[in-house]
Amino acid sequence: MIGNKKLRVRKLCAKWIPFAVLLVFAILWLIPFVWAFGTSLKTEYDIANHPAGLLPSWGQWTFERYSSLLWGEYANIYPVARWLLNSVLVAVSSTVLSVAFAAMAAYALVFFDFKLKKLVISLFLMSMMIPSIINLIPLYVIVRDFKMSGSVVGLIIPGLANVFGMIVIRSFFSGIPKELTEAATLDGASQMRTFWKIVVPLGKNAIIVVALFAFMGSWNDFLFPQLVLSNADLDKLTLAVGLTIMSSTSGNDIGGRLAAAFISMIPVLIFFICTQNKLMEGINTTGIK
Amino acid sequence: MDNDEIELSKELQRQKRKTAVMKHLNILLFLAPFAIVFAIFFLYPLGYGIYVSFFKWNIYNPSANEFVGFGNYFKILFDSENIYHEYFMQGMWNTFLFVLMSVPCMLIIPFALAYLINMKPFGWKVFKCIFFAPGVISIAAVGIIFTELFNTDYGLINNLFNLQIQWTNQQPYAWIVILVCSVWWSIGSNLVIFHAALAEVDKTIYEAASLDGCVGLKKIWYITLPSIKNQFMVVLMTTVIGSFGLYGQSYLITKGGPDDTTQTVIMRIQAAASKPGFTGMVSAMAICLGIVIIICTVIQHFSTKERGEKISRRKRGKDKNAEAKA
Repeated sequence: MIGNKKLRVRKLCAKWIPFAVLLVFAILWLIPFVWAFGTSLKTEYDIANHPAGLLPSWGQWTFERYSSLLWGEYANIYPVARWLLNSVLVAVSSTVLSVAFAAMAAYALVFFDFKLKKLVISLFLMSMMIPSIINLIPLYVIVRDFKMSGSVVGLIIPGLANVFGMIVIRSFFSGIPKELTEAATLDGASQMRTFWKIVVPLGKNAIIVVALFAFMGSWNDFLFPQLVLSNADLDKLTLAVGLTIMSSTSGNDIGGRLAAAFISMIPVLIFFICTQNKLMEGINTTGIK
Repeated sequence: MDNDEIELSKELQRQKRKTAVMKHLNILLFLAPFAIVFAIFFLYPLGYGIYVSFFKWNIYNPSANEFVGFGNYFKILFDSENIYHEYFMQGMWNTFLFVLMSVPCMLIIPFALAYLINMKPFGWKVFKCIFFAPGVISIAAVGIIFTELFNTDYGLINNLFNLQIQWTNQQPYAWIVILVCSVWWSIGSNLVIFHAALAEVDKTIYEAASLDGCVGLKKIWYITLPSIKNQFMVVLMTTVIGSFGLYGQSYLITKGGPDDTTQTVIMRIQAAASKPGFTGMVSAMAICLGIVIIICTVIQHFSTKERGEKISRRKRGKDKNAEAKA
């Protein structure tokens, strides 16, 4: 009887102790979000007098910072809505183009045989070992020489050869039986049609994962945009660069900075909520981080 | 008859040639966009960077560039009079400190959390999401949030615990802020990999171990860790490489201070790049840092070969299952 009780207690513990520990950590992990959001809604008086409050005092919240940043007078100094638009533009176009290029290259490397193919592949593989920091300045010099610095074009084009994504897609394409594409070719389908109608649908999962990571990589890229946009006009910046400028020039306006940070987070958090399963799966199947 | 045959073989040959031409055109069509961008924006800058690193670069008069061989590298590594030697050594030392501090945290915390999540308590999926979420946010926003959290006058931490610490102006506090921020921001992917690895460990091993009296931490040390050794190595090396890339946190939160104690090599390279011209010294410095990272990558490559094979085997198994179901 007593043993039974002990066992039950132990079972309960085994279930709820992990929960309790995880809950504590989860709260710790959420506090920065909650406090930052709460503070961005506080009045100036509240920020000065109740800085430790997670949320504004009751009835004291103000959405003024958000409206001012998005369409009010603050938007003239820090055009956050414009930055948001630029970031979306860069992320979407570089994702679409880089995934298309990567998938096409992967198709060529899997379904065609040609001289030097092995050499080309090992060149791509070896290039993945080179850390991007080595290329940072020469790349910037080239972008500048092509007159692409100071605009989003200079951010999109240099990143279009996504070697890692190409390798991931290639390894998935390799699993597609060659008979399928050969049959399509015999039936008179052009290579483009075979690629688009047969190979892409079959490699869809890999392509989606690569696209998700390309999007996130572009959205969170920090070092290179900082260089390319270092002399750009204010309304040509992306969020990452704009926020950096804002954080060093907006003085004591804590609430304003946090509101801008939150505006920048909203699209990517929505994106994350919609895609979290695929993202986490992708980390495991491809090893991208 | 003979003529016909000759005609036929000629026709065949023509056909063959035509398909060969078509094939190569297709290869070109599919490979060219990727290859061109790769050549212009990867190979060329790489070669250019290495080339420049062997010269004493004169930005005002490019024809006066002087070939110095490994001179720049020598100066960076050994010439204590040279400012770039100081930049590099100081930056490497700071980065190395950060690696030493951050890597244990970024292994132990996500491992512990993944271990608990793997027990599948109530709401474990939500927990996993919460820990993963910060990783998708741009470092620019993360930097702002943590700067304000640790703000001396209006920050949460000082006011919550009644402190007056100037977090970003003193050591070791500046490192603590960077460390807390980095852990918060980047344990997510490590946690996901650990969780997947733990979920794969055979449950019967645990049962056998507990029957033999192996429980608690002992069980983790002797059973769990050895069974996820490969994934552990992957996480270890990618975390080390990631930590060598420390840039955004110290750039945004401490701005390299106090007294340059959180300056990193990447920050020096970035600062040099925004000045006009581009010297062989900076390029050589970037390559030195790159070589350190490449060494880490090579270690990772050799220590994880096994894992790659394992994954592909598993995938094949899954494909077979799918086929069987179909």
